[in-house]
Amino acid sequence: MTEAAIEIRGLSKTFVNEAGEEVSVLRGLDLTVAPGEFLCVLGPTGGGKTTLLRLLTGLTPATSGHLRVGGSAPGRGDPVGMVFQQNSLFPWRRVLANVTFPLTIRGIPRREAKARAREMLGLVRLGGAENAWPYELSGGMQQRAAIARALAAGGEILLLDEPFGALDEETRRALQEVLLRIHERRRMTVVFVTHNIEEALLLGNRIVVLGGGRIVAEERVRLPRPRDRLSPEFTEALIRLRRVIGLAPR
Amino acid sequence: MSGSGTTRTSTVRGVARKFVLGALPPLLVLLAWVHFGSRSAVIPSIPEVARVLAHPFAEPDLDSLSLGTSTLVSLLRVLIGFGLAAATAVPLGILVGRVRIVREIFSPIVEMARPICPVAWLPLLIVIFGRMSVGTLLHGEASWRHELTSQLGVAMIVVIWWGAFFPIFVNTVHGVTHVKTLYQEVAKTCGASRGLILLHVVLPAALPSIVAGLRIGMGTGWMVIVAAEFFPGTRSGLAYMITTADEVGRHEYVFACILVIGLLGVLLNAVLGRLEDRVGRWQARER
Ligand SMILES: Nc1ncnc2c1ncn2[C@@H]1O[C@H](COP(=O)(O)OP(=O)(O)OP(=O)(O)O)[C@@H](O)[C@H]1O
Ligand SMILES: [Mg+2]
Repeated sequence: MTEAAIEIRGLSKTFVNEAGEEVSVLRGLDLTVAPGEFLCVLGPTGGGKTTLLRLLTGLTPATSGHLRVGGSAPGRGDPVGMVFQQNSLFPWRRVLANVTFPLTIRGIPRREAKARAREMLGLVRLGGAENAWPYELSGGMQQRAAIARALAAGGEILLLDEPFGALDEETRRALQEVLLRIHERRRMTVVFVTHNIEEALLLGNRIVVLGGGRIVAEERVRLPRPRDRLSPEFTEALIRLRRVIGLAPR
Repeated sequence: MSGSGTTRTSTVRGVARKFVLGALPPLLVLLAWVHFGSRSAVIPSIPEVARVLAHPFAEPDLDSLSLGTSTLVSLLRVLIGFGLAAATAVPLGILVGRVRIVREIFSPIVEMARPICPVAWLPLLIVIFGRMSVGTLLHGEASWRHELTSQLGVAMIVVIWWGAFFPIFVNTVHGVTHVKTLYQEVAKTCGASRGLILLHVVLPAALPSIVAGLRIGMGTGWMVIVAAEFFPGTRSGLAYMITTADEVGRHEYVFACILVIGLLGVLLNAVLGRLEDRVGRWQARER
């Protein structure tokens, strides 16, 4: 049996907000992600999706529960790649320097870091923009650069928080393609947060639905790749998934 | 950047406008000077002042060093004091901004010391340091031979240091405490230690603020030196020259000194202003 890439048992998170009230966001969540899996996490806004990823990276401590990421406590093992919901490129670094950042942190020599960063930028088809400043990029290009940086940061695990949320349909599709191609090649474990059901169905091997602080529905996606969103099977799966989510307890 | 026709024209017009409009007040002052200068015993004429400025190292028939040497003395005092202020205020500001216990120790004393006008310390400092100067520190008792360095009194330098310290310190603290959490979190997910986060995220993000502090600190230092040199006991510097010249009614020297003080102030500010624009470029364009 291979070890899980991510293992979560009985995970709870309670925030105390500015007013001093307790906000219980996650309540005893269980989830296991296998190595190489492409997991999509669906959930309503405010449902705790971002919180879940922050717990996985160790940026926020859990209130209680068991949590292993790549075999270690969150934030203790190998760095994981994280694409944040909002634009997170360092504005004082050019695109290439943003992507070399995680490599520099790890003490990888400049020359090698640059070569690897160029490779990552090539993967997200941003090769021509390496000398641009972040503010010179469109939103979609910024997200691609952020993905390239996350790829450079973590080899095995990649966490993405609604990375294509603010993009137009066409750009979103192009980036979905890019991400799938990278996953195909590198076979890393991906946790992809979205609130778009169609997107989850197009990308994931498995979809989990977050509600009331737990996983309320789970669906293994058996559609063959490449997936065609216009095919009858896709539409059928979409309808079934909508029903599952609609029936799920809140 | 693609300079389209309209933008190009409007910048040319913008620059022309800035120069023409900006030149009006000095022109008026100049006219007033010409008008009053010829009929006043107090206000010197333009040629008189120009003569002083044209021969900066000519010995003045005053109890003072030449205009050029006086300028050099004032400038060096400020630069040394400013350098000490930068070398202490930036590291201390980073520590205070980043380390809670250091902040708790230093915040009260800094807040108490800040409102004290630096010149208020001068009499006390003169008592403490006496005639100790860069000259006596470098050359010992033989310092009287070194006209310039013996004028760089430690008391005076400490006053400049005091004046320039606080703007640099306050801006550094502000800079390092106002770095977006998101950027620090990105670094954390990349596995960066506290030290690496400081080096690669906090310092670059705070740099525009730190350089702004340097520029303001330099301005303060330049203002403080003039005030400090008016104190009795001072034997050199631009403000000392003003006092001496005024006592014997040589107002052309007074005017020349004021002009030099103004011009050097503008120049120092411009140099650091350019640096500020450079390091702050990303901030101005951030969306
Ligand atoms: N630091 C915090 N302090 C207090 N409450 C918080 C904090 N962070 C998140 N919350 C609360 O936790 C809940 C879940 O937030 P989270 O950002 O995880 O939602 P989300 O599922 O990512 O939503 P969206 O789809 O809008 O991004 C929200 O009600 C939010 O107000
Ligand atoms: Mg979110």
